[in-house]
Amino acid sequence: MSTFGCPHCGQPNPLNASFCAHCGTDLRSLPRDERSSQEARPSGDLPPAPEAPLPGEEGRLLAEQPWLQPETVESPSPEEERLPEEQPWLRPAQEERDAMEPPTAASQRLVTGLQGLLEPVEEAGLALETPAQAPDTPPPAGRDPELLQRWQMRFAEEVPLADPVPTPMAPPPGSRRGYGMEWIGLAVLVLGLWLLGPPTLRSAPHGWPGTQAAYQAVEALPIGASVLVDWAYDPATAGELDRVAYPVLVHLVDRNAQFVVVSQFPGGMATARRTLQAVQVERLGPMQARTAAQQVVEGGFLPGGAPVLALLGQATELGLPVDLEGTPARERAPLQALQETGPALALVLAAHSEDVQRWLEQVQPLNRVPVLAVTAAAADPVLRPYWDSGQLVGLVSGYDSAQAYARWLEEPLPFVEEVRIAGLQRGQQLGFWLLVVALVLGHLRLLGEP
Amino acid sequence: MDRRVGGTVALVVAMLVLADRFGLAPATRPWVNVLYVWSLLLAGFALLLGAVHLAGVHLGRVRRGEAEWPLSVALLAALAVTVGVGLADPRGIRAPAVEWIFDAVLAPGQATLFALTGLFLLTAIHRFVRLDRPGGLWILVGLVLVAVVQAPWPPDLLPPLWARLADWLLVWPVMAAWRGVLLGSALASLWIGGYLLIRGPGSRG
Repeated sequence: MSTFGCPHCGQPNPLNASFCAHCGTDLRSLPRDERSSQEARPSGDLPPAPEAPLPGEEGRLLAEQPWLQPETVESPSPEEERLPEEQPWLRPAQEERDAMEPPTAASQRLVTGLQGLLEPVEEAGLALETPAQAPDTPPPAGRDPELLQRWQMRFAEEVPLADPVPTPMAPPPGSRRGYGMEWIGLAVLVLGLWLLGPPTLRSAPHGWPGTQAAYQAVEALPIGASVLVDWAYDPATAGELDRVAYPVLVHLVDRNAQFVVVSQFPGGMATARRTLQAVQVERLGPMQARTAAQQVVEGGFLPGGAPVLALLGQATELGLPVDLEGTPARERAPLQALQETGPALALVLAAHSEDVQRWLEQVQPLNRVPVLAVTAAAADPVLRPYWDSGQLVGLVSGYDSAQAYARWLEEPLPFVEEVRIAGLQRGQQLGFWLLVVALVLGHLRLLGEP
Repeated sequence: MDRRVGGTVALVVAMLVLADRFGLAPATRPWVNVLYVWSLLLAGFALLLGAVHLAGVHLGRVRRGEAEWPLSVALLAALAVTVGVGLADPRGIRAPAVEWIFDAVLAPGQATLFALTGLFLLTAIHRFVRLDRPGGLWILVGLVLVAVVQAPWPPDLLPPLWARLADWLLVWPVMAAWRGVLLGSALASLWIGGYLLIRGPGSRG
């Protein structure tokens, strides 16, 4: 088995080792190609002590194996090496120490080759083939340690993994105290306001433009019309979408609509089955709901993304070849009607705007069937242009629109459902206020910085 | 040679689909439908290949004892149980055991993972949406704009004029910006697609 030397103790370890078997050093941060560069070493053999290497060879050796360099800075212990990973706020100190060491060829590699097969990519302005330098030699132009450190800090700040405000574990005496208490205090304040707020605040939900048109589009459907449903959400977003879709599905069940459901989400069809079943049981009762459920054509999961959607636009039956019982879906009654007259309405239930956009681009131009979109609130601004241009006959987005829609139904939603939507709305408000608090606290901390 | 064959096939398919889409050759409709069905089959097969590859990668991780290999074992076990239960019962994905896995494992897991994005958003806003960050002012302005048009509370607490202002913002500036984005991305997709088809995927400059 191939081995490589531990950068701390020099003992051999397997190439895929996570920790040194001898000193316990964490080896996970050591790039794979740096390990394989020493693959030639036989297993179990310690690296032979160099017999006064030639100057050229010494330079190359030091460039490839920087840990063999004479130590001018005190080498960190294994515990210290683990610290930056476990306690990222200590990273600047580590970087400062790194910056004091002369950069080696290995440290300049931005992208290294695949197992050493490819040449490393050079960073602009930095030559890779540079001889190793003595620690006291001033770095050449372009490799100023301060500049390097500044750039490292800059890049470290821009990725969301690093803490832009280094927070020491124990604040030194005289420093500002932490913001933990402010966080807790403000969170309690927001929670209190939310809980104690007047319960009748939401006297009338704000029905965004498009909600009433959506209701009218469903109301105008003939009884028993075929509705092609694109179920573009799964359990990840069902918490919001189930509630938003509920009044629209209730309305369609009240109109005795025949559902043909497809989904491009692996978990979409199962989500659809559960939600539709709940709506049918609530509106029709358990016995009739069972019959109604059998009438739903489950097109199943359609992989392939946008190109496959075009098939639904011009030959729906080809996209739904076989149902779950093994019967060709085209032989089932709702789909026969679908083939003869086409769907009366396409309903897109989507958590993300892209799914509605896809349908409008790939399917609607081909079958010319009016499209009604039921979406999460976050998708609303992106889809509003489609509503404004008339490509959508209706747009129901977020709890507000769902609640407004429910108030127009002839038979109101059950009390439990209304309470559920109201609770979720409160949760949404709380989340919004928490975001505002986080924003304000972030800027307060900014003001407190020196 | 292979690239030329692949490029030619892609070009012919693209011409057929475009001709069908614009109604230039109605006789090609059945052929185009067959192409769509093939793409459906290819996508299904790609999923299977993906599952096999996933299993292979994680088997390798377990065999080599790489970091976090127990998680790979958990993934492989879940894959084996789900596939096994689905294949063993003739009811397939409607089998009670598969339904249980969906209800008790998959659905709560997915919902929990997605809910965590709220915490991530909270942290990101606290740490990175600041005026001293590069572009911080623009991000803050955008955030305030989104909050104005989408916050759930303004219609309750503020006069109706506020709701009309939010609607106006959505209908005019937001819509104008999004139309620009949509048109721009559509034109860019067309340009890049045509460029790749004509010049080949390996061409540069």
